[in-house]
Amino acid sequence: MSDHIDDKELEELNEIYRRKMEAQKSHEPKKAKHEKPAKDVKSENTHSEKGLPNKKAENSAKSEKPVNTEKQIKVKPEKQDKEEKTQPESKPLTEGERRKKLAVKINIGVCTAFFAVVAVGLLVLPRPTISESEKRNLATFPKFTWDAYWSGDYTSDISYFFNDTVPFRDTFKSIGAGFRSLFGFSINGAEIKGNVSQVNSGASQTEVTTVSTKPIAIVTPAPSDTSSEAPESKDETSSKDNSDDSKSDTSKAETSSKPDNSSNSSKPENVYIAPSDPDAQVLYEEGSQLVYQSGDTIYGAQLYNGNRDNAEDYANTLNTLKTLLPDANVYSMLALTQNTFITPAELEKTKYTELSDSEYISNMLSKDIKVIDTMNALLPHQKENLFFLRDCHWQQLGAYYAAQSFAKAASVNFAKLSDYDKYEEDCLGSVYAATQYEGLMYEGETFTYYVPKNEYTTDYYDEDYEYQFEYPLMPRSDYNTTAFYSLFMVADSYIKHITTDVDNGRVLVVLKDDYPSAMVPCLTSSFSEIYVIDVRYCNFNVADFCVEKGATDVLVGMTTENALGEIGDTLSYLLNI
Amino acid sequence: MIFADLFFLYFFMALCFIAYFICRKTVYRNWVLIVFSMIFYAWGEPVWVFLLVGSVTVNYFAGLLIDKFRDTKKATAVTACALIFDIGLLMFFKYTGFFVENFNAISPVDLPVPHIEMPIGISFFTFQIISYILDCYWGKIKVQRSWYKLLMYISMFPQLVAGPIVRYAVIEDEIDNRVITSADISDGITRICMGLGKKVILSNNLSTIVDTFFKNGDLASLSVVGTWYTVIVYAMQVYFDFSGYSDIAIGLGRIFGFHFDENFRYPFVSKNITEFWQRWHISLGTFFRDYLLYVPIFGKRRKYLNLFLVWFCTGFWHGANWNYIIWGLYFGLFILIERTIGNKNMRKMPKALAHIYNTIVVVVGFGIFYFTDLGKLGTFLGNLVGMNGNSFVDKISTQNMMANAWLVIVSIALCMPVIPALKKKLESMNLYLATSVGQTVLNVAVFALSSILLVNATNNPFIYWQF
Repeated sequence: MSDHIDDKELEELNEIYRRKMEAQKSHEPKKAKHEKPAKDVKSENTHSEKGLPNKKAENSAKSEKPVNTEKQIKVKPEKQDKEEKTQPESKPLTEGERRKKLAVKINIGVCTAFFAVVAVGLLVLPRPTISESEKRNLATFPKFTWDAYWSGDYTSDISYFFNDTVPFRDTFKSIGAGFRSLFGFSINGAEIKGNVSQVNSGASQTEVTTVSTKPIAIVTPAPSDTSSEAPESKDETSSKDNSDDSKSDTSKAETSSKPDNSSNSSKPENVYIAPSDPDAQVLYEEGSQLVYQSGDTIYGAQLYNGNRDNAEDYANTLNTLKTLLPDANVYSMLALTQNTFITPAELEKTKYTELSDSEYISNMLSKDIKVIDTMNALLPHQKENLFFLRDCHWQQLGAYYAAQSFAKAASVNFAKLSDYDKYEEDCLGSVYAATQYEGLMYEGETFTYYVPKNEYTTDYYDEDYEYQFEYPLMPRSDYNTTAFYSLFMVADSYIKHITTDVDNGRVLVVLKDDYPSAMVPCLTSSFSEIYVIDVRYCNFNVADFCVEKGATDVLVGMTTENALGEIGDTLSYLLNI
Repeated sequence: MIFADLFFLYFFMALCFIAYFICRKTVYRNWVLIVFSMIFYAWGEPVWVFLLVGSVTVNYFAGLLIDKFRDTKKATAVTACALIFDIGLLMFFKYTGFFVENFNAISPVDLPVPHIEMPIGISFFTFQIISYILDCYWGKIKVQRSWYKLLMYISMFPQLVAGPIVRYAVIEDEIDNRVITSADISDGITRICMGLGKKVILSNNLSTIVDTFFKNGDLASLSVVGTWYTVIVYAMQVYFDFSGYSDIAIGLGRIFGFHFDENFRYPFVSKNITEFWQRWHISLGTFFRDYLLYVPIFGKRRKYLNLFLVWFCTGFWHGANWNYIIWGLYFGLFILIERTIGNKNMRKMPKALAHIYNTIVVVVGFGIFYFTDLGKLGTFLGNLVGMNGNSFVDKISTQNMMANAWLVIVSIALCMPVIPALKKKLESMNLYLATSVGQTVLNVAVFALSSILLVNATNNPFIYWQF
């Protein structure tokens, strides 16, 4: 950060240098035949006038050539006369020169030692293969192919491997984040570690889709057993139409069409108003991942990005499943996320909301499929700790209320919260892993979970349903702050078979994405057996599996966005293989 | 491969130093530099190594022919052919798409616009080659009769892809005769550490502010203060980015025993635009001064037309886009104005006023430099004076300033010669050793911190790589 010497000093030293060079050149044969002296002589003033570096400036810009007299003497040792060679050697060093030499030695020694230690450390220390904070496998050393080499991929992958697998990378990242946190001051009491970006305030929010149906008022019917009845009403009074028709800019009422033939006429008991915060500020944004500040709290969210065009396909998939399993109760649960309950409406970027899309899908389901209404399950408890603030999942309490609604629909027993052992752990939400936004690194929160007290065993199988091992349903001893959702049945990639002490003969198969994982422990008092299949990690026909295992109940649970995305497609695929 | 990369710093550079210092003879060291330079260049784009080597080979023979036919028309012809070849390559790779786009715009035809991948550093090594050929022709240097030595000069990895534009004359003697002193190594280490710090600690973090408002934000709604704030930060980002790269290049060169010219001399302390360009990207300015300004293309009227040509080329050299041309001519215009006013009158301007004038012109210039989209450039210029109906100040910008206050303040301070002044002061207090030890501690701290910040860096190429 220093350009070192000032002009005056440089000019003096340049003068010494020029004299030396002239003296030196006088001993050399003339090398240039075609000098252009005229140009150089007259150039000094005009260069300056043209705004280009003049000779004077250029000389002073010479890379400290004149400064290092030691170097000047040694550059051409064979061309210098004896006098010049021997003079500095015979002259005793002054105190200043001795200090300079010592300083040079110290600088080289210390810097080289540091550099060497780090370089050797990077070579010999074991390199991590997984980043727990980012929830991903780290880069592996690339395999050589000529194609990869000529495209430049091979070499860039080597660099990437070297950088991605630095030993203690998470520690270094923490230090880096800590350093960056020193760049500025906190805002409104909230610690802003990074940069505040704009999108969402007032008229400037051009990127925010203004046709969002939020803030919305959802008029919902009272939760009742009718939720287990088949949906009949297909009339479209949901978000799209309402939002289009509404004259209001700020609040657009949306009347839900419950899959209940009495819902349209039922007296609303709950009115849901989506959260609104026009002052919410986006701190980081990448794709649908969002970090924002609302009030004094920093939130991490995965904005809803469902594709309604796929709604019919998904509904058809579930209808097909029901057709294939005529004797089983089939349930559809489109889980609502923090998008519906926490994220300010102003930040939404899609035309349809998660809630309106889930309603839209449910209206297309066969009447034989029972819809689990998570809105009504969660709404009475919305002040409770249902969702993480910086993680895309729900807390187990949110899952508990959804499971309660499901158990009610399935007419099975359901354990009270007091029948669980409650624990609390620190955790780092998944939005940090997804965004790597450093401001979230220190924004830990509390993960509250409930371990059922009744008797059960859990067997784990691979994607082909080959037995692997028996292990706890919620292995607390393996708890990890960043991969904390692995507390629920180790990993999504295993198929689980839970055998409980319940003897009602009910066999439940859960076909899911990662979201309902937290629900399963809440059902160990409700079913004799539970099979849990994450449809992303399954290589067989799930309908055949349900038949084979004698499933009495099949719960298809996932977020609305996943249902309208690849996971919904995967489920369709699993019915046809 | 880039300098601000852990693989480069702790593997490639380490191996290169080991190999270099194991060899005792200059000839072997030259070969070490060639091998490592080829690996360096091939790391990102292996195929372009052939272009580089081919270009060097053509110019090597051109140099020999120029020498052979010296003072004859044949020498002129060879020089012209070599220049056409070199400039032709640059034009083909860098400007073909631009020319076709503009041709389509002004003509009824609609030619397909070719998307030609540009070899990294072609602007820099082409200019080095041109300087070699012209200096050969003018007899300012001896023709290099060794192919591998010319290859080493052109391909030397410290300055290969982003300058500074090292002229052959600068290192002519050092190719064969160089002695590396401990002072050279010490200075080289310091330059590398400081350059890395400029890039990783300052420039990379300043870039996040710029991205927030200019790249990702809604430019039209950015306030007057927010626009000025961002463009000032951008000016500093470019300075620390490019001067940081130059520092590393000069430092590496010093350790290898070469003494490259300085490329930056605290440009923001300038009192006028003429001075600014004597302190900013000096190697480019001196190149145009020596190889273009006095070429009598426009005959007697060269006084103004050459000035126009130089600044047109300065802008165009930076990129195949109109904003770069506007940027170059913008500075040319101010230099013309300053020249019309005269040096004496310029000096009469109060110092504070002169600095303000220079800073405003330079900073606005960087705005022109940033916006390759001319529509956005217009919005930016309107924003500066509140012509877009934008507010004077906005909450988000204010918060960003608060959130990055120390970073910006430290960056502004380091744009000034604060450290040299501090060192000088301490040394005048007879604290030379303490100052030197302080520099060592600073070197290690900056290098360590930069390394840590690079652990999670995903995208930190040097800005001037694209040129």
